[in-house]
Amino acid sequence: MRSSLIFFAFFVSGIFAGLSGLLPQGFDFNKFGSYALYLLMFLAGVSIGSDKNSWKVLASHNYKIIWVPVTIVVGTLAGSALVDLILPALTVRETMAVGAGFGYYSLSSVFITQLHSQSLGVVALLSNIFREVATLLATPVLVSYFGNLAGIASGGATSMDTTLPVISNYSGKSYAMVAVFSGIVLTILVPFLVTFILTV
Amino acid sequence: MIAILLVLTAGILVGFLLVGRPAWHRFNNHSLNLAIYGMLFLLGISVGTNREVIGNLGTIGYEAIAIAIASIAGSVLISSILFKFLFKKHAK
Repeated sequence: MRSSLIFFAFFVSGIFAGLSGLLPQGFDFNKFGSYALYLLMFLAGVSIGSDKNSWKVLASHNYKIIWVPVTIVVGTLAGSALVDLILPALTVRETMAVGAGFGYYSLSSVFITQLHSQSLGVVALLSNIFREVATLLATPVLVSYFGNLAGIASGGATSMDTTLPVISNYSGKSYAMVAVFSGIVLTILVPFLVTFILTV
Repeated sequence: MIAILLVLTAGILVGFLLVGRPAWHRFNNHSLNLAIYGMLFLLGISVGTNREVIGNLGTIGYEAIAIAIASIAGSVLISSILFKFLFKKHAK
């Protein structure tokens, strides 16, 4: 929660810097373009690869937990494809790309800005922050109606860190491991899926 | 797209070599955060100077919330089926 406030604060202060008019109009984000994206991708990869927990959890033998991130991917993409029906301004590809952030707003918004457009990048930022905040608030209710996987499903990629405490509180400690596993798999998938959806 | 995915995969492999070196791990996470701060600040600037985006912030917010709720609903519903068939039985 604290880190999402910091990320959001940087974004908002950028907006005010832009609105202040002290900067030239038509500031072109894309000029910083692909090199910045490559750097970010590389750092994100190193961060995933150097995390001891990710390899440990991925090597766990319980085959059942593999289905958890799979259902979250299917459910998220189905939901974000269907919602396109009430969002005429966006294409299915665009809503699915935003959904494929799985709550990992920082990286997905920057990717989408670079690969697609600024306005969709802002949609992705707000949408994925909202997914994290909604998970923090709604997990107790979701778990009581939809079972112990509900908080993990709602949290998406955030279930490995920011929403983990609330999940293990309401689903039980034994689900904390499932949450970490699912969060790691989805975190790794975000850059691949977003790129795939927007460019294929 | 292939170039981007190659860079990502290269990063994961380099990261794998750094497993068990917490100082490097911390340094990398720190740089990743700084890079994201910078990018988000720049994204904010370009939004602030882009009248089209600023004028549509209401629509953009509405779209963002709709997609988030649909994503949560879809994954919670399907995961509740998974829970019923694969997890609940074994818990008893």
